[in-house]
Amino acid sequence: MALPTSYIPRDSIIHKLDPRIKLVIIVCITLLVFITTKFLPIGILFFSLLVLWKISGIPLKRILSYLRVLVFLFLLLIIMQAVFYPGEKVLLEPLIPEAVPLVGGKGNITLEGVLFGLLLCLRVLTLMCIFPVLLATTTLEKITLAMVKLGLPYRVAFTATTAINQLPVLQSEAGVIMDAQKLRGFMVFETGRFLSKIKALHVLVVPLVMGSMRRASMMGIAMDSRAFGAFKKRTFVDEINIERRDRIALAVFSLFTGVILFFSF
Amino acid sequence: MREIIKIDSISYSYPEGVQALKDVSLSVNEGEFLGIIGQNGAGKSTLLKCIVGLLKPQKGRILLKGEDLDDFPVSRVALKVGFVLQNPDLQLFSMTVRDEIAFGLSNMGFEREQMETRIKEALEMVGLSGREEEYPLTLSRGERARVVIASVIAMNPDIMILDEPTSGQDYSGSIQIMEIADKLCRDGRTILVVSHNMSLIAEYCRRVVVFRSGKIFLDGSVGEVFSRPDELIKTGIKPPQITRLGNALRDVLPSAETILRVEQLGDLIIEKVNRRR
Repeated sequence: MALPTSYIPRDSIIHKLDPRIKLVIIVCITLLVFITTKFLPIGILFFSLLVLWKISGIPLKRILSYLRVLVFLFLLLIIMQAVFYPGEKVLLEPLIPEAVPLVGGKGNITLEGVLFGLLLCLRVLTLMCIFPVLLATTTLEKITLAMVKLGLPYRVAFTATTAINQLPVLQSEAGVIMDAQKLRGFMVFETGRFLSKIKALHVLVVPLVMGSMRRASMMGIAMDSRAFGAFKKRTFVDEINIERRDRIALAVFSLFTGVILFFSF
Repeated sequence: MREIIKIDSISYSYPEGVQALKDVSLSVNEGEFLGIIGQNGAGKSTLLKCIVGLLKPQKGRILLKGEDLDDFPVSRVALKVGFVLQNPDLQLFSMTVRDEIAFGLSNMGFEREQMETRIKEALEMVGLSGREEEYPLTLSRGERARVVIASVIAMNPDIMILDEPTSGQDYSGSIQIMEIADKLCRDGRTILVVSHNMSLIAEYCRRVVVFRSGKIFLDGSVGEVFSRPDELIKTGIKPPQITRLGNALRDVLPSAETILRVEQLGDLIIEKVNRRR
């Protein structure tokens, strides 16, 4: 199954970059998305990320699957902002009639509100597009190594990358559990309404969490039996070095950041 | 005999592009005990998943008792087809054995008393009577597998599909599971079982289908299939030892060629020796 977190073996320029540089860039882009509150810079960020996706070999179609998951959140965001965002240009008259005490006459749907809602959606979508770039172009071992070289204790780095590593496992386990439930005539996940699906989630989450805990303890044993933490200093099979292309990438990215910030304020 | 499963030239490719089934056709009659063998990745599990509708073949169609599968969700097909997946642990999601078995029955809308009866019967069938209140995941591996089987048996399906039910089981555990399947078959149900254990297949199945790279490579009675070791070896399968011994003896004991059980060969040899005397 193609998973949003899976590594895509390619030979692109992004694959070749030092993972430390990539980590720094990824963190900076994330900060930029939080700082920026205007359409243009967010739009530039979003399209730049799509370009990075293309170069990294991530199928652009995957955006659609994100949209499918997020559509409810987006609708909610747009509606909430449309109603509650203070704005001038009224598109629709108050939803709540004047006669209702306290809240009567409120709830104008304003152009500004709708636009702000759309902007929020684009920001969420942009945020979601960031990490796949790192994960598709860097093996987890290299990400761990990069974090260690950036000064994080190995245990912390290992925990972080293992968590990412376990996502696909969890996803496929969730699939099997749902299959097993369908096979016993449980219809909700197939034909139920959205709300009943949400309600039914506990029958999925409980076994999933139980299974994870069991797997975690097994993994601990497996790691201990391969001498995890026996010595303070450990070596790595991969080697990472900052090269010329990394410096160039960093320079280009600094320039890019400047442009984004210029348009943001 | 009535045809219960009709698979009409189905093909299935996984989203990553691996074609797991290539134009496979198969017909299974009511009451058959069918073994499905082949190397890992040959398409066995994919076929089984297509039969219950967990995977939708891109080409071809599957009829269960004459009804096209496409029209029903898995949870409806499950009323007719019981499917035991490979890993029992992911199929156990309740806090007690009783709840585990009741899950399917609740989905089917049974009344409480009926449920109790069915739970009792199912547990009896798999040899776990009186274990209702235990936590499924603390049971032994063999018992966990049997709880899953019981939870499917309780739903009383016409067809029972077991995907590698004996993997990770010790010998007696494997025998126990195959005995349960055998009993279900004698009660009139149709059994499909995938296994890598050739002696169990030889002992319990009547018919065997051999998969090789997404296609059916051989299909016939157990005796016929296992008497073709030269072809089987191409799929990485060796017939059970007793069959190979019988095959090696075919020049002196012609009827030993399709032997499947130790007792059969024993009888043949004794008969031959007695005749010589």
